[in-house]
Amino acid sequence: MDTDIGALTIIFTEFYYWLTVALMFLIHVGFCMYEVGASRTKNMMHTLIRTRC
Amino acid sequence: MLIPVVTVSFFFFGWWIYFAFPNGPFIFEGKGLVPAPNAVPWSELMGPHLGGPPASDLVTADDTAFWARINGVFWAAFLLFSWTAASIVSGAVIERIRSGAFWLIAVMIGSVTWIIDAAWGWHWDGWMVKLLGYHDAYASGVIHAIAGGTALGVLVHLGPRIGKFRADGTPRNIVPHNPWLVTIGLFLIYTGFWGFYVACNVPIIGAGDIGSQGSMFTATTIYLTPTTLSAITVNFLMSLAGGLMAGYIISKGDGFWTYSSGLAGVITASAGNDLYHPIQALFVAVIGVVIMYKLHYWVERRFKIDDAVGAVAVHGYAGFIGLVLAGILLWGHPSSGFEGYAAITPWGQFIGAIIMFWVLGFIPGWILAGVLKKMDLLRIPREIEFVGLDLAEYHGRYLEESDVRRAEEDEARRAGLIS
Repeated sequence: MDTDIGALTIIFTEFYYWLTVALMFLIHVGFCMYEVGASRTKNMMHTLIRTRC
Repeated sequence: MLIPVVTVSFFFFGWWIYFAFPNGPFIFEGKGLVPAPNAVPWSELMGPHLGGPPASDLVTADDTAFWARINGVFWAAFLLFSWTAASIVSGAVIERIRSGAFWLIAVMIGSVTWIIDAAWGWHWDGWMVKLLGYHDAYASGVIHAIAGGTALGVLVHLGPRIGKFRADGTPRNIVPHNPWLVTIGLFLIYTGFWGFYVACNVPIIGAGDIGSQGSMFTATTIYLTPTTLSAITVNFLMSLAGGLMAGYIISKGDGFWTYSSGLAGVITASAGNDLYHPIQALFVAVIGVVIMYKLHYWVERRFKIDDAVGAVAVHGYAGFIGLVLAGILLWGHPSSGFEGYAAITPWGQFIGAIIMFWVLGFIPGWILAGVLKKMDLLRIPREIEFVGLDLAEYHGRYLEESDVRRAEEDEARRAGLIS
């Protein structure tokens, strides 16, 4: 962090991983919808709350 | 509850395992655990830190300067992988597993077994990379094969849902209650995969830090081998396209399998998507989808395995095949920029695939599910499965719904709106 390029590299890397985390949340929104959709109506809430979230 | 149980356990020990276990332990030159001062839960670097001089002897000034701004986001990126590994298992076992049993399995794969495999084979210093030349840039094996293997191990003990198989042993198709939700869900998983792919890279690093010379800066894989976002973006899309086409053809236009095959295509190509030509990525995806589809139905009929969402096939078989194909197509490529590491070979990748799917996937899943079954804690009671888990656990909500509906009808009747 004691040179311009060093600081830029580290702060860019920090922001980059932060952004990947936000994008990867969508995988879990997707899994959630997918598994609830795949469950039969009688098991829907259980899949949503107990197994998924 | 998958998300909170994996998050908390990954904070307390999952992150430490990644940094402590790259030697096996004791597999690589008899070396044991590696000190992991940034990753133990009591480290000052596990809390807010601005990178100044360390407050304790546990870490050095170099540790704090490097990790202060990276440790938290790097931990979170790995954690999202942990959730994904556990989520793959959750789809396979829905509608009959006990909640507590699933939470234990989720912690096992999310905060123990997958992160052990990451330390071994998804780490620039992992013993599998050094000795086997193991290459799995976008996690065909370290996430997908292990999760598919774990799901299969659990399913062997869990058994099929009531009504899945006819008396003569042929399977029935238990259809999703909402195909729209399934489709949009799969599209969102594709979308999230953009984050997954780029999270597998180190975004910028100087060539001097990756065993090379000069002042060039580049993105690298987790093995610190150079790559570009352009390369993996094209290969991601081409393998998605290959998977969708193959799935459409082989399933004769079945919506569920066409969409799932897009994912399976990406998963098959992921091990080598940093190095493949886009047309290779396309055909690798096609091969993976054809084999995983055939294998799914063969295993279902032969062993009476009821995988509710095809997760063992889409993630497990496709991931396994992807590792093996990468060994053939990338034979001889360096697995690392550092001296002395084995090159990529078919046998190194095949052994790697066995370790991922069977050794760290199937066997731990089979053992834990077996113990839970012996204690009668694995599967919900038969009578609850008949009426549905929601009636058993959320009956208060349904009673209130019916009560309100009856009150509305009484009101409407009094107002003369209905008879």
